[in-house]
Amino acid sequence: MKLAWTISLATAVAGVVVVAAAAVLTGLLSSAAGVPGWTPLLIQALSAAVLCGAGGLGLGWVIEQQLARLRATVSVSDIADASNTKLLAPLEAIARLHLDVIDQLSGDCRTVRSQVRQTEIRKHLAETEVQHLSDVLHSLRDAVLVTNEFNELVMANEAAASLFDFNREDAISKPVGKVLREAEIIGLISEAAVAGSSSSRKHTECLLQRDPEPLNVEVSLSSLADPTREGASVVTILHDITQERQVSRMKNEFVSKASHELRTPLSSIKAYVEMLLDGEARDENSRREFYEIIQHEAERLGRMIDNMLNISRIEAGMISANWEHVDLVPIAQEAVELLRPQAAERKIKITFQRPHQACHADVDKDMMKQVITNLISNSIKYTPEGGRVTVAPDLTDCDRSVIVSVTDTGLGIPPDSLPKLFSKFYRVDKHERVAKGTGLGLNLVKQIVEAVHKGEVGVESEVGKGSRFWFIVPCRQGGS
Amino acid sequence: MASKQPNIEASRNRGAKARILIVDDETYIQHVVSLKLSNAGFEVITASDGEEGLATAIEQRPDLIITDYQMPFLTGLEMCQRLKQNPATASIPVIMLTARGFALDDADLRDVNIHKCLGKPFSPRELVACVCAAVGAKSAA
Repeated sequence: MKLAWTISLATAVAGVVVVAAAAVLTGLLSSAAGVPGWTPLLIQALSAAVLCGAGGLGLGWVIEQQLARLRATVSVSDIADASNTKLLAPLEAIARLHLDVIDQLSGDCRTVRSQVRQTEIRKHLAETEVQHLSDVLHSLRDAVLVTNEFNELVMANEAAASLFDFNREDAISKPVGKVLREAEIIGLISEAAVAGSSSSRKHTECLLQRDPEPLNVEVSLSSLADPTREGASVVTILHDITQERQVSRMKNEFVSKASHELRTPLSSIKAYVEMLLDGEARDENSRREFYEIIQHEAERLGRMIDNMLNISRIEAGMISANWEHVDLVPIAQEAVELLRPQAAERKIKITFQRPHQACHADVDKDMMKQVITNLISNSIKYTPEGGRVTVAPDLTDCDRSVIVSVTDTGLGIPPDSLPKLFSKFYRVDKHERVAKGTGLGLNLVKQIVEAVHKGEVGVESEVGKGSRFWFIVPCRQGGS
Repeated sequence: MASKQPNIEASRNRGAKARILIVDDETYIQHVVSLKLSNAGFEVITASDGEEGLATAIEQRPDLIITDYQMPFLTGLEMCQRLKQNPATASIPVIMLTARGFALDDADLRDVNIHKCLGKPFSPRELVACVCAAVGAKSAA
């Protein structure tokens, strides 16, 4: 019964090709159940062969032919005769054929299994790669948008979602026109999608209106054409170049202002030299006056160049300070004495307030002298005749820093000018008529105090009453 | 220079000396240009910034103005635009001295009477030649 059941099950599972053969076998084998010549191997082979769907069609057909022949030539009496070679020989042949099929199939199975394994590995690698690419895309600071030929958003990284303020999950598969508000960008993407049959790249610049400042972005569009489709999918990369533009604008402004400032004394020098050459100075006094003007303007030019170079060296971190632990009191006093004649010329009283104690700090002596000189010279320039300038060094911050203040009874600085006062080339509009200047002096003071000495500069001022400029430097550099 | 109407009448009435207004906030430049033009026989008046230049031009009606570009209160160009708006000064030709030539484009120059732009550093000799050409053109017109 077990045999019959096995064969029946086999029949049920077997393919169409084997149905007929299985039926014949079932009939034959049911009758032969008690035949001693039927070996378990033979029966197993037959069952497995049928179960396996008879392998290749060719072998299936051969088996079918063998069975058909068997059916035609074997009778019930033959089956009763256990040693009947008429029955056993073809059955064995069929069994062998079936074993071949099984061998072939198990070989195929192994191949298939190994292929499946390889495919699984490949799939896993591909998935890892996709995840890696996605991580890379999301880590980019540039915004990346991928759209299909219908201008629907296929992919957007986090930078894009943040730049255009949309939710990534919601935006995917939506038309890009509904995700972005910027008509210019939408237009560029649509244009690139219909750009043509070949893949292409386009670079352009756009201004995105954002709060508080508009953004300059460099837009790169790559159309990925698919010959089987009409439009192209588009990869759009937006790179924020606002800062680069600002730096470049500032650099241009600096060059423009610097060249203007340098040309002015140079113009005087050139003009007076030409006047001398052309004999336009009528007498010795005039000639002497011209020489002095040339000398004065050449010195002015030299100072400007020194200031510009010093500022740019400090900014580039290329200046090396000559550190000394010295008392700033005599340095400040030297600066006062140096400028006393200039103050006297304008009937300005300059007072030096000597502190009770020495004010030692780690400084570059020459740089400190320049800072104090610049501050005093500024105060003298913008203080009307008969005014006062007071210079006062002292210890501060529980004796951990030195403060030097320069107070004047000058014009004072309008509140809106105060934040820009230490910027390069900045000049208070209303002061331009009062005195000449390049707008570099205070910037140099700030650079020397803050960038080189890790200190701080500041100013308090009231228009019409005067100003107090001060700077603080730590007594010890490096906090020791 | 047909479009630049002559203002030479005034100087003719005063005698042959053309009156030149020099506007510059740089004392030395003002001084050297004044001296060169005086030596060349021109009558010279001066102003130290754009506002003062405008007021002096309206009051003194010079035959020609030499102005700097970068000045406090009013730039040379702004001063020229104001001069152009005033019928009394609209026809006065201007020579501009500028250390930043690139700040002026054709559009800026089109609507004002700037006869010539000279870049700083400039040659006083060349400047006098320009003044003579401008005043001469006016005389001829």
